[in-house]
Amino acid sequence: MKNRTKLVMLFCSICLIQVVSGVEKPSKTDSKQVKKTIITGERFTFNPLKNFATYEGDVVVIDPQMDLLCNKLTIYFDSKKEVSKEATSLKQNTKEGQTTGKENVSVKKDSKVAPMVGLGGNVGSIIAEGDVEIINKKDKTRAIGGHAHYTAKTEILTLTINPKLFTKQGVLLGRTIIYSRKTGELSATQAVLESDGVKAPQKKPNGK
Amino acid sequence: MDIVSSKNLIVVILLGNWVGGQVLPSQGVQKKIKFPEYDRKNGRIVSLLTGDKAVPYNNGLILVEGARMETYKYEGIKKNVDLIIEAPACFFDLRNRIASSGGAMKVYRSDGQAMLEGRGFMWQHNPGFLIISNNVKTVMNQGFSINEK
Repeated sequence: MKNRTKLVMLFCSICLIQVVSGVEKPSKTDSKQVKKTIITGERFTFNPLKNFATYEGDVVVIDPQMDLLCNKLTIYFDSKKEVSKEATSLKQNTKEGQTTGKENVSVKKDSKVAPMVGLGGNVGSIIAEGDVEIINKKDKTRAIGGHAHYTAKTEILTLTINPKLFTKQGVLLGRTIIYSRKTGELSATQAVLESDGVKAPQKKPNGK
Repeated sequence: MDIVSSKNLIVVILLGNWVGGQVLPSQGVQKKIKFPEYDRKNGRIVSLLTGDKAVPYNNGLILVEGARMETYKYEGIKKNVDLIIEAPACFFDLRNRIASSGGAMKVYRSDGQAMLEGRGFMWQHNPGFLIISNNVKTVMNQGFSINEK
């Protein structure tokens, strides 16, 4: 009888160990997956000649930094001309390699443009249109508007068409809401801060 | 009488040739096909459509099974694979150089940094133009945050 109890206990302990070891732990691959960006939409158009890609219809962008929802998302890439200009200016500034000019420039131009610019290439600007919603994952702020424009060079995001920014302090309304990713500075034109239903006009709503 | 019979024979031969020359979907099947596209200015290959099997249809359409398309970009004289488009089956319009399908498809970068999938697509060789019509999903390993390091 005692042996039987011991056997049952042993079986139970083995089962318990298996259950505990079987619990999913966040692996390295999971943390890698988080860094990925996923864009879903109904329709996709990619025009390498005109340097743009468009997603249309219930577009959802899931990014490590933010989530973005809109009806239409257009990604403009740096054109080859601009890149080649940059390459030539770089060359003029450095003036180190004084070999035959043109060939070197073309090589630099091509090496700057990543293969398949439509996906993860040299993004120049991004335009989101129609029921735009941006959720910042860091501070959990949420912004909505009819139009959003992001410029990669300046790292400035401009939200227009009835933009609203939902923060812990309240809701910031304005004609345009501008957010700089570089400085983290937030500014708004003709801004009104609504906190708990009380409207408080702001003259200089700069800073977070 | 001989002339009549020889005439008949010629007619029969011509008819036979004509019938034989007609391409039916079940006929003219080719395996391991390749449709390259070249740049008219410099003669370099810009894309290559390959397939396990090709079945000719009317109006210059070809049904390509196990389709895989590669587009190329050049770094000087070095050829790099740019886009890879894969579909279980697609139609290829020989005249207009357009590949299209209503089924599932996948596009990815050769370095594996980005992948795109959806249902229904159209790819035009010249000028390069890609449309995916349904359920598009893009996964980018580099991240969408442009200046993120």
